[in-house]
Amino acid sequence: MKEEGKISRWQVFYDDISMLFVLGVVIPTIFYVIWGVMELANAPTAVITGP
Amino acid sequence: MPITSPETYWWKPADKQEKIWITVAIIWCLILFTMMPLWHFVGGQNPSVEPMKIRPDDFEKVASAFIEKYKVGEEAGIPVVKPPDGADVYLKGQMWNWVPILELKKGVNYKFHISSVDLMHGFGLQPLNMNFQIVPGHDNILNLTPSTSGTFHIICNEFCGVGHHTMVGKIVVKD
Amino acid sequence: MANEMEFRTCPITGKKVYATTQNLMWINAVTAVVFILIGGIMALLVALTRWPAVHLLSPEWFYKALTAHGLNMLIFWIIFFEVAGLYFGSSVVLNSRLAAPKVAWLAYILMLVGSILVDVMVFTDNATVMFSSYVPLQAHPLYYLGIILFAVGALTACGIFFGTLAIAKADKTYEGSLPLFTFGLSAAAIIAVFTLACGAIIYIPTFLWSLGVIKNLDPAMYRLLFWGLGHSSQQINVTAMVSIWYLLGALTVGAKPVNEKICRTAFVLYILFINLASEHHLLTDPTLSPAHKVFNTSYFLYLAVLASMIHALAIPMAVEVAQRKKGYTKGLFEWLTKAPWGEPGFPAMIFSLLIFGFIGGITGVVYGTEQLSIKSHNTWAMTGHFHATVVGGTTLAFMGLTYYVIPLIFRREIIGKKWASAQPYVYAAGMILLILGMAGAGTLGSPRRHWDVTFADSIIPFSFDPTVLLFTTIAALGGILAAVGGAMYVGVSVLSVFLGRKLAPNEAKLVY
Ligand code: HEM
Ligand SMILES: [Cu+2]
Ligand SMILES: [Cu+2]
Repeated sequence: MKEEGKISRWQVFYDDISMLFVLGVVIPTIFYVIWGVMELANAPTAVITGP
Repeated sequence: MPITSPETYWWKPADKQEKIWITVAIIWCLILFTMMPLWHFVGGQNPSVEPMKIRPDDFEKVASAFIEKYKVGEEAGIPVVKPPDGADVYLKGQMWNWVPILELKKGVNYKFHISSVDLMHGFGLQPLNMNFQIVPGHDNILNLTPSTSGTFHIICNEFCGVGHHTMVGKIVVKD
Repeated sequence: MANEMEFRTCPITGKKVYATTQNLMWINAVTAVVFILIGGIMALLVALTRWPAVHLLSPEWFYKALTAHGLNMLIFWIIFFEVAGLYFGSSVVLNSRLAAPKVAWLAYILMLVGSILVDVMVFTDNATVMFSSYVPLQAHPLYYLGIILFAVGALTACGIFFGTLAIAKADKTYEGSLPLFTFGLSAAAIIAVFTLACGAIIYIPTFLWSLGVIKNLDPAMYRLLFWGLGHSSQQINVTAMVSIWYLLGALTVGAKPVNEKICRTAFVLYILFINLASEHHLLTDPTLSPAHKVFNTSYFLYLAVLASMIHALAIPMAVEVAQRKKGYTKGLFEWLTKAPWGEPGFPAMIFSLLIFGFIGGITGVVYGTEQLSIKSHNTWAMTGHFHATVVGGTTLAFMGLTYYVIPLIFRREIIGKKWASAQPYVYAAGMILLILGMAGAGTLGSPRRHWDVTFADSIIPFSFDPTVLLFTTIAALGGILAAVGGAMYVGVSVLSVFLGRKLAPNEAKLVY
């Protein structure tokens, strides 16, 4: 077996599928979905006056 | 093999060719990235930057008022409208027409409001090939300055029902 | 149903193949092929209708066939095949039993019922809405229900994949890190979870809207979330396809990744950033700010494009290194000329890589910029772009892999080896012509999803530059050729799976 501590921290990070999972879902959710939904929700509505 | 586990320590330095390739690729990506915002400001030809919602029946109202006010004729049953210089122009997408037909002047800036009163439509200005998504409930606001005179057509390039392929509009630009 | 612990050992790779996994892969892959057959027939009808010289179908049938083509190809063929791939990448590659095979069968049934429901709705005129079904264009509620069932099934299959990774780790069926192929599929499965979550967020309200429970749905909101599903699912395909390139490189010339760190970094960049790209469908929409558009369409500084550039180096490099080790060292290119071009997997991989990278990737990056999107949005050039990515790229890679799955996993000898060897060439040639025709016509303004580019029935007369018709003809001829290639694929794979000679337990058949 391998001794702990010698393996690069990056390697440990890449092997951690659950961490990658969380990041892979959170990043697009924040930047694409939430940001986009907020812009759509906050867009002004034209007020039509007159006849 | 990609189907067997790698050796225990696989975090190893890249060799020279790999480093060169990746550096070139990173530089290229950064150039691409800088160009997008740069072109947004320098190029001055962008999709709508003024988000605005408008209820379809409200849009119907303003578009009809606009048509009534500046109507100069009719062609194939569709009103022909000649707005004054610099006016707000309303173009309505509906199954399966672009209303009205517009008569514009070369070199004059118009503020276009394009929306739909029923389904999604696709504004496709030909032969320039400039395309915008027209979404009901949203006003696609574009500042357009015709720079050549002549006749232009607007086709529909978003599926909008079985008559979709007959949906054609027209803009005539005069000197 | 087979005993959960029953397995055999593959004579070539030494992997344990569990009977449950094998059956599930079989059923998912065979179903995928049925759907590519339906989608392919629709493709031919659609291509022949768009060609003004033939103009085959009526408008009603054209739009119906186009809807069916999009759904059966893009969703059903691809995803059923990917589910088979996920079971392979987890259970077979890791020598592990599959997590919860019964649930995996349930996932299959959900997907099957969903897809049949969708197809029935489309063919009975209840859902001529294109695969994107943009609100407020409305389909029958059962159409949306079908999509939801399919998506739940696909999500469950991703769950089985992750479950199997966990079992394999707990049972210590492998040591150290995941194999690269499985790592790539993990990336695909992670991307799939975001994709299917967006699907749930948007299809459930749309289903309720079609039932009349919800009165108003903002069409722009629909587009935002729909493309969170619709485009991200293309990123699943990209990631799965790249993983398969690595696998085909290994199966055909024994290529192995030169630097694991670099290959894996590219997959991690996909996981983190590739899903932002959904935005490029919305560049000409009225409602989103330029900041949102630029940030997202650039995949956050084009970092996912960088990842593709890395794979574009790593895969040919792995092939070259493997070939040179075999002694093909003359000149710059002997490694390439002496490659196994007569074996279907190799040309399938190379054409997939070239069509995806050079045509699909470059057009994608170009059309995906804020300003150039104005020149390409909704034109036929767009259809050309994604036939390069998901057809010339993903579908061709899947086809190439099939010729190895049949002998190695399904244990049947391929019937029609010559046909199999020729198939990638025919399909790739047809696709390249189709794509060029579409791109050329689209660049001149020819619209997508359009029954009549001569505008014969319009009250305002309009006609395109005649060059558009030339390009349309090229596309149609390419389409016919590609349909022949598609038929060769379906023919060889169906015949082999059902009628091919059963291989003896220790018989190893890989080389053509
Ligand atoms: C024999 C092979 C194929 C041919 C000849 C073919 C041809 C076509 C044609 C002519 C169109 C219509 C474009 C339009 O009018 O807008 C189309 C659309 C499309 N194709 Fe294919 N195709 C093939 C294979 C595939 C495959 C394998 C996939 C997916 C994996 C695929 C995905 C699509 C999609 C998503 C659309 C767009 C549908 C829409 O606009 O709603 N095609 N194809
Ligand atoms: Cu329309
Ligand atoms: Cu239309």
